[in-house]
Amino acid sequence: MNGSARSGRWVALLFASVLLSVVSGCRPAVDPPILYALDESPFRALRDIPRARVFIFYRTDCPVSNRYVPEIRRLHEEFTARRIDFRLVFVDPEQPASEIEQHLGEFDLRIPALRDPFHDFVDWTGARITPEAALVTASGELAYRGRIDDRFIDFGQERAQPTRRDLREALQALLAGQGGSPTLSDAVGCYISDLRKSL
Amino acid sequence: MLYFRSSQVPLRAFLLIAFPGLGVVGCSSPEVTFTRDVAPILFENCSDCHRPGGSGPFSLLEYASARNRAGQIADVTSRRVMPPWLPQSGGPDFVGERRLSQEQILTLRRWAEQGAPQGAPEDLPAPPDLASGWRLGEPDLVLEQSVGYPLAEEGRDVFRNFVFPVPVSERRYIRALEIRPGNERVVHHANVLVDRSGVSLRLDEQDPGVGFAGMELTLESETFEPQTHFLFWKPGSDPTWEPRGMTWEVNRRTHLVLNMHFQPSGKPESIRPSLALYFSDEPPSRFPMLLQLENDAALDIPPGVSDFRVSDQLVLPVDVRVLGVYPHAHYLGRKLEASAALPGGTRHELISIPDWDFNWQGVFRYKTPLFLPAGTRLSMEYHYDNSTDNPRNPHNPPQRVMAGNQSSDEMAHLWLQVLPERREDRLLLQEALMLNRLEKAPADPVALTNLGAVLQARGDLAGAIELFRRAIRARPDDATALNNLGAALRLSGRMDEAIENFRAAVSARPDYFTAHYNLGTSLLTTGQPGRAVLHFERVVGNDQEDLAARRNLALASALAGRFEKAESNYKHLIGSHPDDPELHGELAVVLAQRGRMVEARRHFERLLEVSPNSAPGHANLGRLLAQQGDVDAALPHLREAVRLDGANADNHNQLGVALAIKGDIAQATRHFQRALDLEPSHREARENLRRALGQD
Repeated sequence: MNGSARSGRWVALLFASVLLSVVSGCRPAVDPPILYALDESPFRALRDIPRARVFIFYRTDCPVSNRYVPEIRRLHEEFTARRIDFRLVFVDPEQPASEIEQHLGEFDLRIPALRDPFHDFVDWTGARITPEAALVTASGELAYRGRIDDRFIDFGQERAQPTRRDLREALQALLAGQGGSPTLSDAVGCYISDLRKSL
Repeated sequence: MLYFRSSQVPLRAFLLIAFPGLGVVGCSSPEVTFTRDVAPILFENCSDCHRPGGSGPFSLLEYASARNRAGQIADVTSRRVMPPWLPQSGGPDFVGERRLSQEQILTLRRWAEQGAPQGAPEDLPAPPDLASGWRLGEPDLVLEQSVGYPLAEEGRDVFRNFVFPVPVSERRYIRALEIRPGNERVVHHANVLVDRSGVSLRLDEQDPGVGFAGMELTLESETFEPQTHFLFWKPGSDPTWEPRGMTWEVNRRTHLVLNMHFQPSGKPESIRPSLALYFSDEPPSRFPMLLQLENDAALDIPPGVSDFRVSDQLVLPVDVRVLGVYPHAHYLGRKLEASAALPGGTRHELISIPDWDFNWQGVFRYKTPLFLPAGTRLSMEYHYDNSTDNPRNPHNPPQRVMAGNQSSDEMAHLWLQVLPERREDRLLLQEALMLNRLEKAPADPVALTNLGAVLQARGDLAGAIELFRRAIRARPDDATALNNLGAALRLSGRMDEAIENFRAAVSARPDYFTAHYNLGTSLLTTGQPGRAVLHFERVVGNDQEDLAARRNLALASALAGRFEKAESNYKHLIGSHPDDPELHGELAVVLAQRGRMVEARRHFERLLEVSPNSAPGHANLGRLLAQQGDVDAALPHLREAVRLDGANADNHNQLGVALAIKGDIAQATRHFQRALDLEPSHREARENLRRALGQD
């Protein structure tokens, strides 16, 4: 792999984004944010969205993220058929890609994985926790950001069944054509801010 | 992977330069580092679970891993979510207490706020001992589940019991048991119960999966054998050696039942628990007992009620020392309290849990055993919250909840491990417990049966019979009560009624082998060996190595004239007990009955090899030799029989016959006379004497 060539490509892209953010001036982070696939190729988070795209912020070493895997898988299977795109966003910049790949295999997660090493997309969405979801419309607007459901109340405190399935409700509202300002909720899980982002 | 953004390099350099400057300018808070300040706290308080391969979902031993959670650590410790420790501070001192001081919590907070710096490597304390083997060293015996239990990737908590037979040939004493959960990440707690009745095997067979389902199980035994020890595992808990003199017994009939609580992890898991046993040569000399306060009968919690109280009390009939406590409720439990009011008015808190969390339940052992004199009133008071304000409420919307074995049901239990002064004091404790239970539920068949067993042990058979009858009225097909009633009736000499109840017991529960055995021995002693054979065969069919049952089967077969069956069973027994003289003697008699004199003679001779002073051995061998016409060989044995057991009329008669055959009529007459003196109704001796005197 030619490291310097790749770095060079990023510099060009990111330089452009910094300029954009200066122009729009309303968000602290770059806009539109760039994510990276496990092979380090860039992925434009807000481009080429079919009907909508769900991002799930994820940490492999977060037990709460792990315990949500079956529900994430169900949502993926159900809504992919309705032209909703799903992406997992791994937020630990120091974790080797091989570990992420191994985790995806162990948990049978077949959702494309991305990385957010600079937490640009974390900042853009306002996510704080893993697991937390961000739902983005085809036009690149944030429609929902927050918990998947309310099963967890605090660390070690969980309900037998969730009483609200927030992400599902947001998806259904979006599919029903209900727009408006983004809905937000607080998630329970591991703190993204504890991870040192790449500089 | 390295992410590098050249546009921000200057910024990073600026930050690195700026940090030391900040400290100098005016930040009064001294720098907190991982190696010097944080690692000692994490190593001491968190590493039992948060270590590689530990039950905690991540390790906190390494800097990088702790740094990636610095804010979360500060948050959960300041809210005392971690480390998990249920008892309220200010109460009794418990072993292994995990509670951070305010200062430690502040250190963790400052560390996170300062950006979680690493510090100087030389400050790092030695890491905790991470021995991966058995914590107590090389075990004497390891019991393993042969097949892993498959745990689904999601769902609520799973409660499963695994039965471990104990493959020992003789009784052993246990000084420690270590539980290895097999998959620490998904096991919340585990608890071993000692089953001396085989009940757990039956439950295991009835459940098609690996092990059997259920959160709490009731074990029974025919004799008074209380559970004596807390054999508990929870994440981070160390196995312990039992105190001196407090070993406990296992034998080849013992089954250890491992009751486990699992929580799904997000992917399918397989759990293969194992147990390590550490033997001791010392039989127990101190006999603890687990006392249970409970009030499940009062648990009928209406939906929406936020403070439903349940209490129970027990007055101690004897002095005890309390060694440990294990409170137990499910998800509606909010506040759990137990105390002891001494006769003089002093009150001791036994435990107080202000915010009960089922997931962190455990056994708490007192650092110093608490002495409680007779007359002390033990109390528990539990509070339940069945409203929507209880986030752990398993029902949404709330529903009426009653006592039960599912985690969505409730329980109100408080177990105490107590050590009375004397072993027999435990009967008094058991009596007090059962009377207490009957006060709450007068028709409780288990309490009636247990109380009956206490009375029986004390020799009050009439009282025991009355209680067993009450238990059967409450639950007519209660096999245990029917069997116990049978045993009490038999001891009272009421054989026919005893047999009737043993029959009812095996009819209520066809695989109740203790009742089959009791029925078999009762039939045997009332002259019904043919029927007895059927029941002993059931027992032996279940346990090939049940020596007593097989012996009775052989004897009953012989008495019923079924010599072939008797022979095969005696031979089976002799195979494992080649030096048992009685087996050789009984087999020889059976062989003689079958006309196989040579073999019979061999077994009589073997009997005398093992037991040269056996009077029946000499008598029988002498008789057999005489019958075969070898009177010369018979005489020394018949003489020896008389010498060893001169009070046996048969021996004199038999010797007299041999002497008469040899022509020694005078000596023969003396022995016939002696036989008649000993047993005037001895018909053969009288006939022989008449004939001898006629010849004289």
